[in-house]
Amino acid sequence: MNILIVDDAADMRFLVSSIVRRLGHSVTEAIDGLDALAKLKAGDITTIISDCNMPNMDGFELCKQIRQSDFPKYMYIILLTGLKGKDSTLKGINSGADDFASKPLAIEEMRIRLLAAQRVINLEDDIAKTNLALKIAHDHIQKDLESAALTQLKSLPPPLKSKSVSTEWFYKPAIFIGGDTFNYFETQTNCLVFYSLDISGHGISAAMLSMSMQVYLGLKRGFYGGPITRERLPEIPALFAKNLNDCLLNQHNHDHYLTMMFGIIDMDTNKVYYTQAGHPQPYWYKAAQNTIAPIDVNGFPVGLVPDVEYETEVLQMEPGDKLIVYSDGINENDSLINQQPLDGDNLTQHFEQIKGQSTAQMMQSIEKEWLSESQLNALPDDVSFLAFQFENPTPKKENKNNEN
Amino acid sequence: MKINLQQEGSVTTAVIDETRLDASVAPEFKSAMEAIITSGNDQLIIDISKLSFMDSSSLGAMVVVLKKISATGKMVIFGASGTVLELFKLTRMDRIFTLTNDIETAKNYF
Repeated sequence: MNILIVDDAADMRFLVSSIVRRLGHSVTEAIDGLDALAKLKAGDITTIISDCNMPNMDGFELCKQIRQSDFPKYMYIILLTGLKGKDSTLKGINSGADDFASKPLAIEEMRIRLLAAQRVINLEDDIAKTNLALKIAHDHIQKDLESAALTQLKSLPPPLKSKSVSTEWFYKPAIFIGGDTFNYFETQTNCLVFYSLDISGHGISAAMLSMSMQVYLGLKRGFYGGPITRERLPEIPALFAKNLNDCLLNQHNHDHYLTMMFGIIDMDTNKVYYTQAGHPQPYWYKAAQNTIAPIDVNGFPVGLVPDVEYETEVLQMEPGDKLIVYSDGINENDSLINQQPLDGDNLTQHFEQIKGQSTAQMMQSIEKEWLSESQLNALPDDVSFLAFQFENPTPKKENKNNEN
Repeated sequence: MKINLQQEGSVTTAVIDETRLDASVAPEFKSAMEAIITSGNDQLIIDISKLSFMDSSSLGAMVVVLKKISATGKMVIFGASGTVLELFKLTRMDRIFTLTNDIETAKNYF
């Protein structure tokens, strides 16, 4: 080891240095605490043997300064105590010293104390190397997750602006990536297919299933039981849920299941055909009455219990109406406004306050007014809202009976 | 997580001594319940009356437990209330599980 000997008395420095050299170590000398700090910053030293009483900066202050500094390696400090050994020892421990040696120095005692120093330094080195490896791995995973989060965000559709219906959404995963997802797409028959789903649990495995669902639920997968024609709208949502339920239970061997709201909006009439599969009850703003309330509907989740029945429900939307579909992640958060959980009546009251806003403003209110930035950065579960705003239905008669 | 077991004849009551069942404890809950069933307790009342919150992961774990026990035995859920009961209703799991708020009724199922 390269050991720093700190003493204002040249004869003591010479004495200690010669003992340390005889034990096979190399030596650097400093005349007080200030000189020692300068030499520590310059050289590759991890062990210090210092006198207590020195001008400019004594041994105790040197200990404190070393402990407050950000040296890349652990510094092992042995203080040399004199006649008032006990007092110095207490003061030394409080200052950050590791060990003590009393004057006059004996070579055997110093050999043992330096062996202890070497052991601690080796342990500290091992910990530092392990921490570094962990940090590299952690940074790597974090970078990967951030990139995955971007991929997931890009898999979500841009807001839709059609003459009959427009959409807005808010999405924030719990841990970079989430098990929530949603999508919507127009068919050639002037229908808007949409789904909002929440894979149970969250984190990487839920997110992977969520992403695979984004691909799975595309039109070509057969879950729809045939083409999306206007005549089939009353049967498709329930059939879709049933087929997906069978698929998840038969083909996937994992503990995840999902809750979902799947629907098709007939934009000729603004009728919504949907099935509710264990998802939270959607909110319906009725413009004519200026009321907002959850729709009292329930249904089995998908991929949990075999052979259960799903039902297609129908809503007739009027111009100015809004439909807000969301996952249960919001329920685990306390509102920034009244510090109560955002579920049940409290959630309804929060929607009551923003019911007059456009769907874009509503999404802003949820993000900026209901939740704090610190809540958003540490969500217990994924939070997603998908909002539809209805205008006058606009039939496209020329496409009416075409298949998708 | 804490689960206290009480035995009365052939019926075992597993009292969930927690106020929350969420994604962080769902796997532990599932394996603890599976171990209880594997060790021969297949006439089971799960007492969740202390729960004030339960999430979808825990509901999934509960279904796994129900499937496991259904092969040889029976399971009744006692004491679901508030948002926990609402979750059972929202997901129609009140039709899959036997739920009761009366402990004597729960015992009479066996």
